[in-house]
Amino acid sequence: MRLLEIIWKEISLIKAQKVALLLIFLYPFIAIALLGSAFTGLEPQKMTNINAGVVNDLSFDSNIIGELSQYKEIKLTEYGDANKLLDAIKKKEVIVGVRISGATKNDQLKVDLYYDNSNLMASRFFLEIAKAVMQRITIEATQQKLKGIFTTVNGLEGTLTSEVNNIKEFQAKLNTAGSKIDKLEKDLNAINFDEIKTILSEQQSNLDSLEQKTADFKTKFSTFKTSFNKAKSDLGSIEPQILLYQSQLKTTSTSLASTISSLDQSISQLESISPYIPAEQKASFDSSLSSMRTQEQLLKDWNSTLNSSITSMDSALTSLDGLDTSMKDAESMMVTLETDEAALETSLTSANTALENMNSKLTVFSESVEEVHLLISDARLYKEDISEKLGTSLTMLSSFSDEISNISAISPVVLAQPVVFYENKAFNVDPFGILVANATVVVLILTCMLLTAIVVILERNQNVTLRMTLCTTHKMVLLFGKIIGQLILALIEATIIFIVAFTNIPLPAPIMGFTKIGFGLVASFSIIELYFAVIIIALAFISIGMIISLFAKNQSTAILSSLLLIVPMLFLSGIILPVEFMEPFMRMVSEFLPLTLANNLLIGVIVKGASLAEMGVEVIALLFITFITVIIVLLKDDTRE
Amino acid sequence: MPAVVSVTNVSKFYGQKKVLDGVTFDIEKGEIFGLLGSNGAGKSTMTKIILGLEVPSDGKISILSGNTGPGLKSKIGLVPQDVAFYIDFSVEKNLRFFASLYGLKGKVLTDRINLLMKWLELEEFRNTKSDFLSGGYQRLLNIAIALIHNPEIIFLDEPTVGLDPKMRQMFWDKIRELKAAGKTIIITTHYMDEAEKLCTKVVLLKKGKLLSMGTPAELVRKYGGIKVVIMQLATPLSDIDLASIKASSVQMNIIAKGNIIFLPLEQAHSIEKITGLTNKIMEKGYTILSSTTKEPNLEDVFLNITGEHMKVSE
Repeated sequence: MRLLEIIWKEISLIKAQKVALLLIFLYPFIAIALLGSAFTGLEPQKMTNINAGVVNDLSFDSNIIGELSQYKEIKLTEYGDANKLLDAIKKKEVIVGVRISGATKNDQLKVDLYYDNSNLMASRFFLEIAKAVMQRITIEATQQKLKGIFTTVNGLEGTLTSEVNNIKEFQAKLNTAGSKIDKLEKDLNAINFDEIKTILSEQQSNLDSLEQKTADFKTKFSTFKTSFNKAKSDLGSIEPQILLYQSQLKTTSTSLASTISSLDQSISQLESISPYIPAEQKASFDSSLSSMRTQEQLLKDWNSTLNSSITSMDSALTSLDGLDTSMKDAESMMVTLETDEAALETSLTSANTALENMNSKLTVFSESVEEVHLLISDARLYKEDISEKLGTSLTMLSSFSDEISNISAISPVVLAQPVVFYENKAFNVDPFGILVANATVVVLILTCMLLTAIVVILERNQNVTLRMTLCTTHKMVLLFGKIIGQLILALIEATIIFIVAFTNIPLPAPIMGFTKIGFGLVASFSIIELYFAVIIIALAFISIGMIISLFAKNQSTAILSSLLLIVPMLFLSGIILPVEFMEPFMRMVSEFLPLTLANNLLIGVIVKGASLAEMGVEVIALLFITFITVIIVLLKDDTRE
Repeated sequence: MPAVVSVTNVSKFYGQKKVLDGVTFDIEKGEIFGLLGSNGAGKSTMTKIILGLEVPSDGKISILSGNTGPGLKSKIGLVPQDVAFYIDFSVEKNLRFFASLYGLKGKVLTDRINLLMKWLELEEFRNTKSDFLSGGYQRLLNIAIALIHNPEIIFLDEPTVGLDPKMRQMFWDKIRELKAAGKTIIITTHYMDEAEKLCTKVVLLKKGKLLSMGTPAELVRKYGGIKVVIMQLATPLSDIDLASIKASSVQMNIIAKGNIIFLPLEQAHSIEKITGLTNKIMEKGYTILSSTTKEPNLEDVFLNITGEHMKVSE
């Protein structure tokens, strides 16, 4: 029973502290909610967009960069050289860097890995991821090479099959060519050259005779033709024409005699009337009468000439009878010619028959020769085709040989270990320096924030704050006095850490296994910069502690409230778990947390040897926090001046 | 006498709640001024307003003729009800620290510390950690710190709560000495006897309203009521005898409760009434064992005005 009472008392005491109770219940929620939401990406296979830098010093294998950029785990940025890559790591633009710098004598890829060694866990982790990705790529490259070999072998099989097919095609073509030659041989054998010679001899004789007869015929026929045609022409045209002319002349002479007579009568009539013609017209009348007598005389002359011609035509007709006899002689000659012509025709028919026979034989021969030509042409084409195919086969066989050479050139070492990694740290620092920075900020946040809040609450609970409010000292002096007091404590604490970290005093004899005092960390930074950094950090934490004290009513609430801020910040600041493992949003939130800023600042100064100017973002952010919180504290003071 | 604190029609609201309602009074230099009232009367709010820790919602406060800022602060000292110093510091260190907050330094500071230590009998505890002082001496240190800058107006919030009578008397003596030194003292207290003995002027507050103001004697005279004689008899007074006495020539509003008799007395003719009553009782054969007189006081005033009881000294 007593135990139960004590237990109930304990719970009742806690219940009485309402704010503390709220915070107690708030803690588990905050712890699990914050950590849960921040670190859901802890599984490496779920990690994406790791900022990585790459420098490709090689030109022969730039495809690796392309392959690297295909991996969703990595968000790749390319840099011109290793120095730029290192700068990017130092500025936290990238977490790890990859430099493909060359190949070993075994053709293994040489990869320099650069990493930010200012973070103990994350950098190694991401380094391993980078290695894994590179190995995956190179193993894939190896697989590709093996696939290439198999593809080559498969290709060679195809090539050989193709070659077999080509040879089969050659054989088929050769068989075709053989058949054609056999047929050609048969055709050639069918030609009887003796018969052709006899026919040609006979034809020659016939032709000779024909030539002779033809010459005779030509001569005779020419003579005959000339004579006959002339005679026939003379005979056929002249006699009727003469007769016609004679008849016409006779008719004309008769008409003319009649006309003369008429004219004579007219003249006589005119002469009879002449004495009656008036004198004035007598001259003209006599002139016309005279003209008519002239015309009458002329007509009498013409009529006399006509009668003479008619007499000549009778004589000509007599001559034509003699010509008719000559034509009969010509007809006799034409019969002779016809007989000669018939003989000639017979000779020519015989010659034509022989020649046709010979031509038929020659046609067969000509076709055979044509086939021989075609065969030769085909043979040439076959030769070219076969030559080309043989060239292709030769190329293929050369390629096959090259592939075999390439395959044999691939080192088994490359296939087993295609990549050789060389690790390079971004900062030349002892990892212990990171721990010193981490320890310092943790101690500073715990002491500055917690102590300030507690002291302010303590003063308030002891009514000292009331006295201070009533005193004549300005509230700003009171505030700065408090801040500086806390700051001195912070500096002492930081100094203790630094002394332990940086001193290295050997002990004369081992004490509990320790042979020296201090860890002997080599300081590669400015002590003044370090202390300024500590002051900036401590000021921020002290001012936050004051803000807490404004709202906390008692020490327990102040402590719980401080822890409510400190614990999540510890988890989210990257001191315990790397911020790189967080979700992007929480990572962004983390960057603004005072503890993260403080940790980054101290790591910057201690580990990276950076100046405060180089860590300007963190310095300004922390000073801004201090400024804002001091303003709030001053405004919250409701003292009446 | 000039008023060092002048409160004119001051009201104060916290949200909709009115904690002071048109309070007006003046505190003159050299007075020991008592702010009296039960819990929730508005004493603390009034004190905070006078100290400048709260701003009145309405009305006007004038301290030392409107003096403000550090000049005013240097003239005001506060002795809170609870100790207000660093319990981990020694007595002297506490004094030195708070003296420094008022700008005291060098010989002036040392002399002032020595003076206060001597006056408040803290010398033997000079280097003692304050947490180790008894409650009474912690209260004295509290006063010493409030006086370190030699203020003109001193606020004492329930200064003797929890003190033993000897220490309480000592406190009263010190307060009177401060008055004698010309300091103006403002006391908030539940203890009516303390206020009656110390204060030269008191105001009675109830629920933010000022009920009455004046010297304790004036208020007692005005609102305290009458004096009562209380006699204890050896045997209870019978009803017949009581009626007989009441019927006597001397008019008496006598009340009997068993063997105790109460006789209210007006200021006039009190001696005649007491001797007359004594004679009548003795004539009836009763023996008077004891007799006391109950004088009216501020508690009675408070009761009569507010209908509420206040604390009396423990």
